[in-house]
Amino acid sequence: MGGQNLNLLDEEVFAVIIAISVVGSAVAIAQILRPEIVEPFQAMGLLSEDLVIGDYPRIVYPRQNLSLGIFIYNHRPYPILVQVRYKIGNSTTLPTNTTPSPEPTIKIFEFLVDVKKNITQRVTVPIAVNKSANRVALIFELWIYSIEEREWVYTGIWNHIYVDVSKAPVL
Amino acid sequence: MKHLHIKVIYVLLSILLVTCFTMGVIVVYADDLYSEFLDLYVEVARLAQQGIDVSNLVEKLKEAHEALTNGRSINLSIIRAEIDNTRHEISRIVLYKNLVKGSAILGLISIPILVYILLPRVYLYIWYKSRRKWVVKT
Repeated sequence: MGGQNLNLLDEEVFAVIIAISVVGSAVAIAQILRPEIVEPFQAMGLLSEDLVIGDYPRIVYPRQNLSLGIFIYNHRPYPILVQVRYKIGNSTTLPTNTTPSPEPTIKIFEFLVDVKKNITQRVTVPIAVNKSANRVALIFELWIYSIEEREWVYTGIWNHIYVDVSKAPVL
Repeated sequence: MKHLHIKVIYVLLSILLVTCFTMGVIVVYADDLYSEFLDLYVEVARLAQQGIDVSNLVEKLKEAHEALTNGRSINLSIIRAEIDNTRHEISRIVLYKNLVKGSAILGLISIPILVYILLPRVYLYIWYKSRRKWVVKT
């Protein structure tokens, strides 16, 4: 034993433990330095009256007040003030991801959504169509209040459902 | 009789004028409140962008927004005062957050170093302690 190093801890095992601790702390540091929200976005969903996806009404009648649900999620690093603009159109007047629908806005729903939070709310929309209309699209566009431009900006996000307009009230 | 008619017309006209004026004032008042609300929202959003926790302010803004939507009276000056207070404390909050973040990073950096220095010593200590009653055969 004299003059010989007392090597109780195996060198390879020691190296592996050191490597694990280095990698572990590097990953943890990266997590701390990483911005909380890397890719900011906002989302909107159209829900049925029972606040679930699907089961949307298929037949409506003129001047009916239709109940639906709206879901909004904010994945931006600041609270967002958004408007859901309700319009009635058809297949030729649907919005695109750059331009809103040319149809007039019938009703506006406004929400303030905190960071990484969502809002689910039941809304009532009027079926403002004349009796000659057959099949219409109920359009919901998402607009955001831009904190840089200080004006309402269309996000390019919209939802629509097609409904058949009945001549007589649906019971 | 004719005088009475004229008086009634004057009274009605006065009521109409007062009503129009009051309604106009209310409309302008509501618009002003809404634009003030938008200003407050922008300030809160900017604070959030600087990494300040604004959830408390957002809740108050939500209440104000609901009141505005329902035509109830609101006092935005309280929210304004709170935003001003938060703005005055930005440097302190940011410094505190950076200190916490820096300390966490330093702590994490020190883990491999501590493992490198302490692990063999701790291992040796445990190794000897667990064998201190051993008897060496000669």
